[in-house]
Amino acid sequence: MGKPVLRVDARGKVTGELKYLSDLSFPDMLWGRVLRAAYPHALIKRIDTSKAKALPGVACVLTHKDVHGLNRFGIAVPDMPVLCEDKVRYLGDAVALVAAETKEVAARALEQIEVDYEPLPVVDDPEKAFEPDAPKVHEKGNVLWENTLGKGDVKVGFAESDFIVEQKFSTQMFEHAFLETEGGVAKYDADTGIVHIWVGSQYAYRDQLQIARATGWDRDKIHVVGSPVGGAFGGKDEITIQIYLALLTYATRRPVKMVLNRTESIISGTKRHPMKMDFKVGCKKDGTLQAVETNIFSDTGAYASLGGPVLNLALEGASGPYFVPHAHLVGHAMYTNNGFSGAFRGFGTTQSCVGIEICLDMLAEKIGLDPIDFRLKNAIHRGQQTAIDNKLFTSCGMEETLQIAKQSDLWKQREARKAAHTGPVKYGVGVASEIQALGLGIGIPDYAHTRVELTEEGKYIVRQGSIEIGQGNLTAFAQMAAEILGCPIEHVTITHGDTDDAADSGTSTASRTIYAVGNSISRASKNLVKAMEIFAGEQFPGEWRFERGALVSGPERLEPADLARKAATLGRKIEAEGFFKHIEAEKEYTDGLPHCLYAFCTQVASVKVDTETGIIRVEEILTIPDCGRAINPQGIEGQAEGGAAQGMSYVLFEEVKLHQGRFLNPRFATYILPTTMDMPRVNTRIVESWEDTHEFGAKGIAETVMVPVAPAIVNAIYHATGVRFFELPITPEKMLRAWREKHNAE
Amino acid sequence: MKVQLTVYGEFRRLLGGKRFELDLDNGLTVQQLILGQGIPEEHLSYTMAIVNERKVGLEEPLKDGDNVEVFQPVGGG
Repeated sequence: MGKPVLRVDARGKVTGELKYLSDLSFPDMLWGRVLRAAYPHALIKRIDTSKAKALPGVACVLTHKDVHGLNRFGIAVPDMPVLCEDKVRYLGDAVALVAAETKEVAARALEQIEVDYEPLPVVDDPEKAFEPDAPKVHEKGNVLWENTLGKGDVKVGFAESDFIVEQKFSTQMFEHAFLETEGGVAKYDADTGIVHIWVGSQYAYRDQLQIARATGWDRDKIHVVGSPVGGAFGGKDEITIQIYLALLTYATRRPVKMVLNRTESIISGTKRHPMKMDFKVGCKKDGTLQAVETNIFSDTGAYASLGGPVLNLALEGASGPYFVPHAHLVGHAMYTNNGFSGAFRGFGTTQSCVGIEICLDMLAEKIGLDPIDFRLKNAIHRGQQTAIDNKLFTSCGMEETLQIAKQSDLWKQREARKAAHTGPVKYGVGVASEIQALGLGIGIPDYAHTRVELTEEGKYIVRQGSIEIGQGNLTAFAQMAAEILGCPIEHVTITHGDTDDAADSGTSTASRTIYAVGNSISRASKNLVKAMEIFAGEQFPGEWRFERGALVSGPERLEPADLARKAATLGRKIEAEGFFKHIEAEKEYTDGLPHCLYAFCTQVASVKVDTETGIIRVEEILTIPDCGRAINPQGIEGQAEGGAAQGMSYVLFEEVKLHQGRFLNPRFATYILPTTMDMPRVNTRIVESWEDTHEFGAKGIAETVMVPVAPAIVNAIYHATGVRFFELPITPEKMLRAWREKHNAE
Repeated sequence: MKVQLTVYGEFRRLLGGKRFELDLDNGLTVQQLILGQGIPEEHLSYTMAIVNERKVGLEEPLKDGDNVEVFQPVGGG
């Protein structure tokens, strides 16, 4: 515990031994394909599949008429058609399914399906979608969700402010870009009537229910395996191809495989919500924050998915990790025809953090305060009310993260290093911080259920259902179990992501698994220790207690394997369950709001900007997360490095470009990702604020380590060049243009 | 048998409350409880249930003193 430990899944992933679900194949297997919409917004007048069905090698062609349950899916609001009946709302909408003997025949069959459309005006901007005469994406209108949160009276707050900044920000649509696209296999077992589905996911148990709802089948006839998965970042939280595969295998009675190519994955899959944000922030001349006001338009695209909860979290984090006496936070999640957006690492806070953290830097400059000192002055502490008037009663290491940043060489040397760059390449350092809500929030049961069993070899199997999506949770789970069971980590096997095998430990999202599943595993492990003591007392004379991995009674000692073998002779198994329900806030605003457990993070970034080419290079990122107790510091460093890369890319590289609802760059040749050549040095300094409600004091950091990077880099660019950006991404062209405009003006 | 029922999300709106102390016939299953409270059958396929802190199937029979939580897995993040 607390030591850097090699990941339990490292060898298989690095050597290629591990087979992902999109690698699976079965004899007599068909290939599945999806016919996607031809227009981003159109009525469907006619669908004719007769020519496709007649093509040799085609096993079946399905339309909405073949969906016998609810022809809709969606985690929070089931408004997305499985197969569209009368309207398409984005280019990824599914209109028909094909299963054929080969991929080539399947592709030809798609071309043979005739669909007559009546194109409709495209809604491509969330603010325009709000206008009363905007074309309707859904019959009910274009508003998915609106919310207003806050406390106090911002009029009073701004009246008492000596300095105020107001600024509009814009963040872009962002692709998860997981390396393994959506892919998998389904197989119908005629003997049992069970449909088996293997598709990489973030919550197999909920996929099972979404499939049941869409097909009308009994959930006990649906077996889902969601793990291993080759990356997700939130993009496999929602249903992807599971229902399609289930329908195809049931219709054909043969195994069916489907793997999306990158273009189809980018067009059809969820995205990070683009947001337009108006911020107004006021403070006194000594730097004390007085008021934060924001109005956010979130582009949720064609369907709901988790658009409402994302907006809620954007608002919850919009005033940053600071104490603010007055706040008025308003948001609107709007339907458009721009793809569809959903869960993505940071979940709305990534976007609102850009706004508040750049505003704080602007205020710090106006006042003449060091940006870190400004943040230190206002850093929230345990016991205070957050900006949405919710008491922060869990652990908070926010101030410590800022103190470490302040004392860092990166920060202390910034002016000297900047001054040393007198040529066309400018140097700058920026800082930003954030507060990341953990867990699903009040009003949404956030449970984790696990089982631990003792094997006859004296080793342990931990049966839990959450999925390893690259965050390293399986390793931390093994560490926690091994700590309680007094055994080497190699003696603990963690099962995951199989609705038949594991207990339902909830979803792999919301940075929740170390906390919630970890607690459940700890309870199960402790219960197993008790079960071993009781069994030993029943079967062997003496007063047995568990000590350092074995049972002892005076000088006598029993190994766990002895107990397991004895139990086996009696036809019994020694096992135990553990159950944990996430703690909740003291008051409830709406489903999932507010939260009560938070991670905090400060990041410092240094950049070099070539003012002759506009190229921005991030040199170094210092990541300082407050994660509670660090279960596996090596795992945290890995998350910090990945988060730094993804956050840096959010500022400088990636943008899903659309025009009138059509994707302009749905391939990695044109959707530019950073490579190892672009990676900065990433250093991590962990703040461990012990969280009392976790067995080992841990919280979660999966998301927080990628959130403040973006505004830290934007602030660093300003420090280097004097140019402030309020729109992401910042491309070399934009940098060059802005630099030249600034100098021409000067 | 006496059972405490806690509902979440859409079910709160449908039933007009969060918590209910119920007096039911012995041997009712979770599914029968849900339907008996007026939650439409179409919601059942996307419903989870926790009884006495253990996740159970909807066919789980209830007993006196059980603490039942019923919800739709609408969370994310």
